[in-house]
Amino acid sequence: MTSTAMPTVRGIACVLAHTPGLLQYGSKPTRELAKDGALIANIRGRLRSFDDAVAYGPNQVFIGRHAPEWLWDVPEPWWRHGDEGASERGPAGRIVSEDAFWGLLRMADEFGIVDVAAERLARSRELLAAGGLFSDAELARLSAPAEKTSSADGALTLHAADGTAVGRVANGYAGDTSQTADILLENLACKASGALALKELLAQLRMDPAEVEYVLGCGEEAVGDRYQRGGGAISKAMAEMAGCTEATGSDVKAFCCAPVHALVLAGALVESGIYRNVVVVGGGSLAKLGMKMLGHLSKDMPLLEDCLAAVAILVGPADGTGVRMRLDAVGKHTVGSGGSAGAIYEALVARPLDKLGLRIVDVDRYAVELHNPEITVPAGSGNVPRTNYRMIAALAVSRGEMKRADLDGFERAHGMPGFVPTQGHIPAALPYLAHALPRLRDGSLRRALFVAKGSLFLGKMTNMADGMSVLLDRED
Amino acid sequence: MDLQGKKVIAIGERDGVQATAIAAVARSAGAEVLLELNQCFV
Amino acid sequence: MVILGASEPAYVEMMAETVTAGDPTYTGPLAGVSLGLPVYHVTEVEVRERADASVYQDQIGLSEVAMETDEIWKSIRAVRERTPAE
Repeated sequence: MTSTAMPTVRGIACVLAHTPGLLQYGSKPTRELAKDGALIANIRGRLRSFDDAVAYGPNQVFIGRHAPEWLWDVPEPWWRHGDEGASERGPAGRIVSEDAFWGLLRMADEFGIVDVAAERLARSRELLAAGGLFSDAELARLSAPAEKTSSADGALTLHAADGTAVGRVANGYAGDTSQTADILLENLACKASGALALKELLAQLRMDPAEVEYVLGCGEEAVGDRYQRGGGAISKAMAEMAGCTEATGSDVKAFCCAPVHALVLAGALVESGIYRNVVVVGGGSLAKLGMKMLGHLSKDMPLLEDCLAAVAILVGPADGTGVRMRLDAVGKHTVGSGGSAGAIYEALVARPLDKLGLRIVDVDRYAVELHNPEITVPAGSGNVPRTNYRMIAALAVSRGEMKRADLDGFERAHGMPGFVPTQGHIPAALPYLAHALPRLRDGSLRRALFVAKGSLFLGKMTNMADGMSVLLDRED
Repeated sequence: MDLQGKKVIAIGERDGVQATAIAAVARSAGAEVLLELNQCFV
Repeated sequence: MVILGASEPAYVEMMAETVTAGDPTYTGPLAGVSLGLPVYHVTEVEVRERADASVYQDQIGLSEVAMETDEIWKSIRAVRERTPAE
């Protein structure tokens, strides 16, 4: 493959929807509240304000206002030391409030499943209009009440952060356990946040929505009904909501490894000439809100998992910036690779770099699973990026490329602190593109390896994990 | 402590040592692995 | 006996407690169950010495270099001392 044939990443949008009122419907909060309903008071007492969520350092990094490395010098705990210069808008994305998100949910709903109080919708309409991403025509649904479907029973009540009821979510088909209100809410939240990311990407790139030809979803939601529980194609639904009239789409399903699979597949579609503009979209995960809340509650912390996070990435032909997606050296974890850490990192890091004649230390930055450690450590779940960096460093040591004494320092030299909300597939490497792309373009970064892993064993179809990696570099 | 003939439950972590790796090690020591559980915290 | 593979010392300690003494505040498949089982981490010498050397190197070699084994061993030994297996 010649260099000019290699596709590039043209842009990325990273958005957060601050939805503290929805935290109670995360998987862990739902189960804990079922055991002890009184917990809702504790939960509500620990929700963050929109301003605090915006000022939160990792969230400012997520939308591109600071480099990930900036967090090394922010005093801990980060939640106590908000960024005084914080803003809702950043070079790579934006943070929207719960007030705005009710409107996005209502806009995402074509079936009268979600009903929201008129005055809330009016407020959402104001905010979304001011945000500049949606036209009056697109916002029109916020002026009309929901058309009720036959199963109009309020199965789930929607609450604002302070506990005020703001609306309800109905079940889908009566008696269909794969379309209960909680599942539909999860899927609509994914669709709404993913469409927001897609809209943000189009605005950022000043791109006509009609130029998008294909959308690849990479989330972990399951869209379907009783006969086809995971039918999918939420990507096409997102494309519709974002006005991409010339696009179709499909979803890549590979647990939290899906985003890197999707990026590689997008690159392949472009490199083959089938499409010129392919967008990878990952919507937010409602199920993961409040996942580590017991740890946070026990340590008198605010509940930090209060944001849906979504990303949208445009992949296209080489654009003159010199940034290349090295499809000639994709790392993949195969059925035969085995489950040892050695085998996994051999497959994902050593083999692709060997193909290019590179040492592990020749890669300037590794983007791994960038889960915010402030969320995971208090819950006893460790520091995921650090664990990954130590593994890559250990591999470098075992290959004689690095001294054992330098293992601890690898995280600073070639890695970064985690800064992404614990939304499963979203932290899987790709958010670093918001920082890598400008640096690859200006030459301050030569190479970045994006490495993700997936816990396939959670689905009980296999005991295996999965992994994929792809390198981005500069042409010279 | 001898592993020979012992019955083992292997509880692995995706980012640490996975259950299949623990099981392989235990079996190589002559143990019988009853259960392999993998955990993922995120 | 139980052999653990977690990399986070705090988590290793929690899991070790769960399988020996049992603790109702922790969740998971073994929550609240006092198994009274001996528990080891896969990197401990008691496991390493008994395993086939090349199998051990293949399966655990890299993890051993990357993990903070001193912290892990300290945590799990403390649990074993506090709650001797039945």
